[in-house]
Amino acid sequence: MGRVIGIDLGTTNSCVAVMDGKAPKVIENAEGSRTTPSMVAFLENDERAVGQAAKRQAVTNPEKTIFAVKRLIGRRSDDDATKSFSDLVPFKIKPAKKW
Amino acid sequence: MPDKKIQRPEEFAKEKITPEDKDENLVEMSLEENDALDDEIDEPEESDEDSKNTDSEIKDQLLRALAEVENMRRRSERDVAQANKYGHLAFARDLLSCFDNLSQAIALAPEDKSHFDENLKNILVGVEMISNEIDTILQRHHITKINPIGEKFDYNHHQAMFEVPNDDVEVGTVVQVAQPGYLLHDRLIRPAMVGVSKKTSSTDSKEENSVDKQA
Repeated sequence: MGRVIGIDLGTTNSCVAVMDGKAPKVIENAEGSRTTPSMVAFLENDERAVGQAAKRQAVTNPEKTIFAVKRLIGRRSDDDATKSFSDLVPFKIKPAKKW
Repeated sequence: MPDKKIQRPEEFAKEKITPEDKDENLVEMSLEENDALDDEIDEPEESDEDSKNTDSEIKDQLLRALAEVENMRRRSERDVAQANKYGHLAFARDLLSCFDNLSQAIALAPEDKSHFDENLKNILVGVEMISNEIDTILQRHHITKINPIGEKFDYNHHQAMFEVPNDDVEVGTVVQVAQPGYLLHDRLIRPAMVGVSKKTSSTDSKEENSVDKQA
């Protein structure tokens, strides 16, 4: 039987809940916390870290730790908001090759 | 009469009635109740088939309900096991600052204790004994300390607080532990707060220049 899940994609944290009978139940992540940082880090040898792990290594890898990208959803690269956002974050924002 | 659409009681019960059409159906029922009863007597075969259908539906529902109960039993079993395994995590987390302070207190005592009077020495020994006792208790409850000095930085267990320019060790080595971390089974209670080595600034600025040129 199909299960209903809901995802709250937040700018800084995200949360997942599943319908358990009539009430929603928040699912904990592997580390046991109910919210997970909305972050992803790209590391050497094609490794990827997400959530809490990505946050913990952010200091050592600021240019490849991506966060708060929810702010960019639906925006074009030449949007004013994109430019002002780009000034605030250590990672680079480039237009896609084809769009 | 046969061309008339008749709603038999069992059919009525079978249908899922939404609040909006409930009243309407009830009115229909009361008007055609007599017809429905007549019809039932006239066509017994069809009624049998209907009840067979209802039977299989009920069987299906029963099987689903049983499966759901089994799932729930397993889920609650797992939840209880998890709660037992990790239930003291928050409590342990709150206690960590006490352990930190205790070990700092011990670290404060000088190596050379010859000028200490007897009472002070006894107090120190007592504090060390308490600290050792705590370590044993933590081990018993599957809490392990993370003190990664000299190890490679591991984002699963360590939190990078700052970078230290250091060419003597490999890049990404933990060169300073500001605060040890703790694990409960495989779960982090607190990551170890660490300083991580990076290349010294001269090579850094070279890299930056080359990046600028490329851009």
